[in-house]
Amino acid sequence: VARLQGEFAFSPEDLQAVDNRVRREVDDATDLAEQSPPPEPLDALVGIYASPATEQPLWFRSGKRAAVDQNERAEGWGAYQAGNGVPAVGRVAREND
Amino acid sequence: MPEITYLDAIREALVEEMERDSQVFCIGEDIAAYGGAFKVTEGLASRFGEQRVIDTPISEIGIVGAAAGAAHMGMRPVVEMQFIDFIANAYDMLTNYVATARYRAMLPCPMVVRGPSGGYVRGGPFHSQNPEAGFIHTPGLKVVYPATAQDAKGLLKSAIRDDDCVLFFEHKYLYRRIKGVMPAGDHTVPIGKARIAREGTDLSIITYAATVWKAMEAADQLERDDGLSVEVVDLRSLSPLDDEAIQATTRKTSRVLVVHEDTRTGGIAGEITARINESCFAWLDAPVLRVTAHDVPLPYAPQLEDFVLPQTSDIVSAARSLAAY
Repeated sequence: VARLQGEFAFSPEDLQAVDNRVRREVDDATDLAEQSPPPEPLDALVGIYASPATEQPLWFRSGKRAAVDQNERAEGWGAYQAGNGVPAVGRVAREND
Repeated sequence: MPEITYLDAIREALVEEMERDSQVFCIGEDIAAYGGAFKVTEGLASRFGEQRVIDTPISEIGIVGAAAGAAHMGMRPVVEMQFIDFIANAYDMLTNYVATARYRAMLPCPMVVRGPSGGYVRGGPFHSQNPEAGFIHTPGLKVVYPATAQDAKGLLKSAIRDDDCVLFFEHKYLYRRIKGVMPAGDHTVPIGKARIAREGTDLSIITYAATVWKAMEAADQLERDDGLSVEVVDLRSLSPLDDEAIQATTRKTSRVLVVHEDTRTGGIAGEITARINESCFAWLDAPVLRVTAHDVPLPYAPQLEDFVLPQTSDIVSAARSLAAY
């Protein structure tokens, strides 16, 4: 403060004006934050890169029942049938045996 | 024997090793007078003196460099990163100097770099990272990441006695949440050996650190709701990986889900998947799947952090798709 006043001719009123401006800016920002709704989960995927602006959710968060639903798979390869598949292991599979 | 926390187990390992070997010393930011940001080293300075518990300026690369010099001279330094996120500041010293010292110049570098890691604690992007993948990729460094209090103690004691540099990741979410009874005597856990955290026959979840506990919750739910018998493998060591344990569980269940808190791209799940393909492809009944964090920096807001990091429900849904394959 002494240097600002001594070397750069800041008056006490100038310093008070800076303090007031900073306080107002911070208060406005915290008011806005408190009045805003919480972020949506998908907001987490926005803004990592300029392009693409948004990342895609991983398959287990995108409503897909299985990773293979969104990946290429040869016809007839694997026993999984999307939507109506009977588990190959577990209780249901054992009951079907 | 009373239960102690994961954090106290780490401190107990430090105390026992410093008592056993006068060449062991601790060095880091605020570890002596303050006892460390999480109080892991609390009481060590008064017990062992400030020659063996050394407070440093804020310079991770300087701390690791000083430790490497001491290690070359026969000492056994244990470096604390105040948060493991800051290990990035020592990346050059660790990967270019420490990791290559033995290979380049026959300079032994028996040292440990340890620090609080991981998320689920609303710590934001600079206090929640899981940077292990960057170091697993570096030949010359060993990497361990315990999930239990017993392993935290046993692995740290083994790391301090190891003749190479060991990066010891400790999960801050587990610090005071996880407790265990310490085995009697001089308890060590070998580096490079995984642990079967839960036996199962229908599918395997291979994981480590905090997600071991999420995998265990998921396994309970899958047994209760779906009748699935899930095996959970706690890797404990990430470098070297326990290939034998990975192959054994793959051959046993033929369905493998790899889970980690680290981001997906370049995470160790990709390496594990590749090794399974190379060694056990004929045993697989389904593609190896991954549940990981999204490829984004970790946000502060609870809703966002919960979305980015893998949750128990994610493991359950991925396991169900594996079971249905």
